[in-house]
Amino acid sequence: MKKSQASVEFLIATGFILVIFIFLLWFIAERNDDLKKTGQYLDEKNLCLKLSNNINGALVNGDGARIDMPISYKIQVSNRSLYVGPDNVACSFIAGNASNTTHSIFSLAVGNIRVKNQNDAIIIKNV
Amino acid sequence: MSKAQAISTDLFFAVAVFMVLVGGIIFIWDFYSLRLSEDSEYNEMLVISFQATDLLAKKMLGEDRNLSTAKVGSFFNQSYDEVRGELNIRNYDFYISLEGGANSSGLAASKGKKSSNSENVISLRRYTTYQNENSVLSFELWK
Repeated sequence: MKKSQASVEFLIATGFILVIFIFLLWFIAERNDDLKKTGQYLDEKNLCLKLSNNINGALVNGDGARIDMPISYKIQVSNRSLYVGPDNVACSFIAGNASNTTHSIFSLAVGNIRVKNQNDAIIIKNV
Repeated sequence: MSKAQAISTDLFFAVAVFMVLVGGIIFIWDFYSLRLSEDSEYNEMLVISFQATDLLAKKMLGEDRNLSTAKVGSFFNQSYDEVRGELNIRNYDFYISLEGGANSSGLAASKGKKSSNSENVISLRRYTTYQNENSVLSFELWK
C-alpha cells in the first residue's frame, strides 16, 4: 500500500463521517424544535381545558359562584370558544352566555382572571 | 485483504447500523406523536362529556334534586341539531338517554345516534332522581 492511497481513503472516510454528523445535528435540532412546539401546545391546551372546566364549574355551581385562576398565555374568548396563546389552541365550553360584562368576544391578558356566575350569566375578567 | 478495504467495509457496516437506528428513532417519534394527538382528542372529548352531563343535569333539574318532567320533555323534544348546538359539540355525535322514572323501569327518553364501531367513544352515566324514582342519565359522545 502506498502512503498517498491511505491518505485519500482517510479523507473520504472523514468526509463521510462529517456528512453523517451534520445530518445528526440537523436531525436533533429538528426534533428539539418539535419537542418545544409540542410542549407549548400542550401547555396552551391544558390552560384552555382548565378555563373551559372552570367556566362550566361556575355555571353548574349557580349564582354567586366565583373561581380565580392564573393564566400564562393571552386568551381570546369568542362566543363559546376559547383561543389560547400565540398558536391559538382552541377548545370550547358549554355555558351559553360568557362575557366580560359588555362583550361576548374579548381578550384576557396574562395574569389572574376571575370567572363569576352572576344570575346564571358567566362573567370573565382580569383581576 | 488490504488495510484500506477493511476500513471501508467497517465504515459502511457502521453507517448501515446507524441508518437503521435513525430509522427506528424516526418511526418511534412519529408513533408517539400520533398517540399524543389521539390522547389529546380523547381528553378533550372527556372534558366535553363531563361538562355536557353537568349541564344536562342542571338544565333538567326541578325541585328537591328531582329531574323535572316538563324540562325533560322539552329537552328531549328538541331536534338533534338543536341539542348539538346547545351543547356546543358540533364536531362530534352523541346519544343521550334517561332510564327509570315512575312509569317505566326501562328507557324514559332518548335522543341522538348510538355509536357503531367508532374508536373514539366516551360513555358517562349519572345517577339522578326522576319522578321520585332512581334513574340513570347516560351520555355517549363519539366521533
